[in-house]
Amino acid sequence: MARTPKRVAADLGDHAPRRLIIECKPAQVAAMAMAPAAAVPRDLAAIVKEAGATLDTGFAPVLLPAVAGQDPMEPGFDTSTRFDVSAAPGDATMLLVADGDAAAAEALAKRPEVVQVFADLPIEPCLICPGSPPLGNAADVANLLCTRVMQERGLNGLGVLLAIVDTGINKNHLASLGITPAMDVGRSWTPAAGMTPFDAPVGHGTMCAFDALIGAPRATLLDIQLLRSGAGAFTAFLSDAVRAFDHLRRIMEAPRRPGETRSLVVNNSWGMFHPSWDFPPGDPRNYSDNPNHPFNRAVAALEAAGADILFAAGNCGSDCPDGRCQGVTNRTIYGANGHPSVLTVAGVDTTKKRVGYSSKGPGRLSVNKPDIAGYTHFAGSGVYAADGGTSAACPVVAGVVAAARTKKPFLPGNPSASPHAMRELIRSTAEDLGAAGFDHDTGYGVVNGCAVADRVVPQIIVPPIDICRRFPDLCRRPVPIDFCRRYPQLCNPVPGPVPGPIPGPIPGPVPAPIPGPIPGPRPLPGLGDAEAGEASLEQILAAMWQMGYEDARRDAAAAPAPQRRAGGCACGGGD
Amino acid sequence: MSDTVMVQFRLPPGPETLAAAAERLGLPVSALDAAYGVVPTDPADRLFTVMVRSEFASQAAARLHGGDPAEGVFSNPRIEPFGP
Repeated sequence: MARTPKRVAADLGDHAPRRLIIECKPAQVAAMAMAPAAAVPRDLAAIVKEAGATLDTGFAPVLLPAVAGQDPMEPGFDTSTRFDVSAAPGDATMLLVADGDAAAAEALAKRPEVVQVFADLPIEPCLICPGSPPLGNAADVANLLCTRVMQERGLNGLGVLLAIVDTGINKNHLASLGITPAMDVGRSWTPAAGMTPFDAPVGHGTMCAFDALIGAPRATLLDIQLLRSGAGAFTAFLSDAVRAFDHLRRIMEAPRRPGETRSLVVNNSWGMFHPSWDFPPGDPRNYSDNPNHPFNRAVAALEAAGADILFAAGNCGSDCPDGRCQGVTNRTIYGANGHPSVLTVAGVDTTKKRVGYSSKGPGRLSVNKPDIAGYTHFAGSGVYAADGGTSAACPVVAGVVAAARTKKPFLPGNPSASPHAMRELIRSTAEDLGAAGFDHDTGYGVVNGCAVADRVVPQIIVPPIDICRRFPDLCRRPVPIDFCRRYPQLCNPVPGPVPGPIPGPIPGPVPAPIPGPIPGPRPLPGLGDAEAGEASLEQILAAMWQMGYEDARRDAAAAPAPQRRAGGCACGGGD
Repeated sequence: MSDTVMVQFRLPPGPETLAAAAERLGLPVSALDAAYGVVPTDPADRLFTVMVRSEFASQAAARLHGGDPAEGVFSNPRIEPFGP
């Protein structure tokens, strides 16, 4: 087959070393064809070194079939096969990879053994941008959030109010998806007469409700139809938001209702898109940078009343911002979206890669923003092709917060249950992404439902204790009843027939978790105070078993002997 | 809404009515948006918000000028959803 003229097929320009793909001649390929898994032939390795490049020995050489296009004017041209492909030893070439600068590439290209030298270009997954198709679906998000573990431990939002401050929720659309959440019409809010909670046109608010319910399916929704305040399109003004937040603060200040945990989680997937919508920073009337602005004060007041408030970071990320950002992508987390008393939520896709439009920090009111990332741009509610924007990421995190509040409710006067503590919980359990630690792309990382569940409802894992195998003598004599009375948490709580002598291991793991440290009123025999901390659990249990035996023997000397059963454990309440 | 401005101010303990707000701002009651009312922004700090007709904005600002930075006329930007 004819070959194209040899050249360095990339203008490497500078002297910086970069990765090179080196295409080698057929003579060497013939040898390779005999043993395709072999390392780079020594003569070729020497050529690469002589040229000043460094061979990548971790890259196994690749055989490349020769490809030549057919001439459509030639007789016998087959339109179904436009190219001739040949992997014959005389036609195929071999690809190697090395690191070298432009001079090394030129030197290699001059070698008779080398056909071509190419730049080995880095490739990356495509960034999610506005208009990108969805990546993953709601079930994927549920798996990523670890909702199964959360719900196994009762973290499902039951008793928690979850306010969707948005364009309104359409309950019929949710029902069409098989979702019938608890809804509180009485404490919902509409900006004008004639509007009905949970009966809004299907739109952005319905998407947010769906996404919040992924993590908290049993939360009670409040439909706060803020973004229906403006005539026509879904829009509003901050003055409307001041009213909406006043309504929410009054809910927090009202007496707690039976069955409720007094927890309110507030999702806000909206904001300002461009600084021209505001007075400039430094102007006393400014909103974006001014903590004294009425709405920023309202946010602080609602948080002080005990609500967990979340705001989407915004869609003015530098890679592919929303058109409404008008090209402004620097410091676009404005006003309340970056308030120190809220969780500011960035967006990552279901591969945990930041979506290109997610606004980066720092925030205007607080530098360390965003706080956390949530999943977005997935096929979910069906309202749009993709539940996207930081709009979807925010309620995904809000659902996890509501789930956590099921077992860690807000309690006035209890700092460990405050909104600040909840923000710390979410941040400290996040799965770190990107650069280690906090960063302005994804904050402390992506929300981690499993870690939240472990922190809120920690599980005590008790390994099976093979006492009888380790200390068979103990199981050959009657077990003193007093042992089980003194340490009931160590005995099988299920009463049953007393087994016979057990020379082997106790079958099965200990069924009930040990609720706390075993009280030790006196040093364990055979284990001094200094040794107790180093002894295995089995050794400690065996020593305690011995103590109990001695206690029973002492008691027996002072009182009528209890009924003894032949061998085995007489533990439990059956006696 | 476009012909009103957002004004935040403090009220002393007492009624939180349009009349009290108007008196605090040195304006006639008719200068305030009655439909919006007097909305507490931070009641623990006695901060409230009203919407004032634009032609009275400078008068309200002058009344509140020089004191607490939380009192005054403030921007009322449009807000929109961050969705797809």
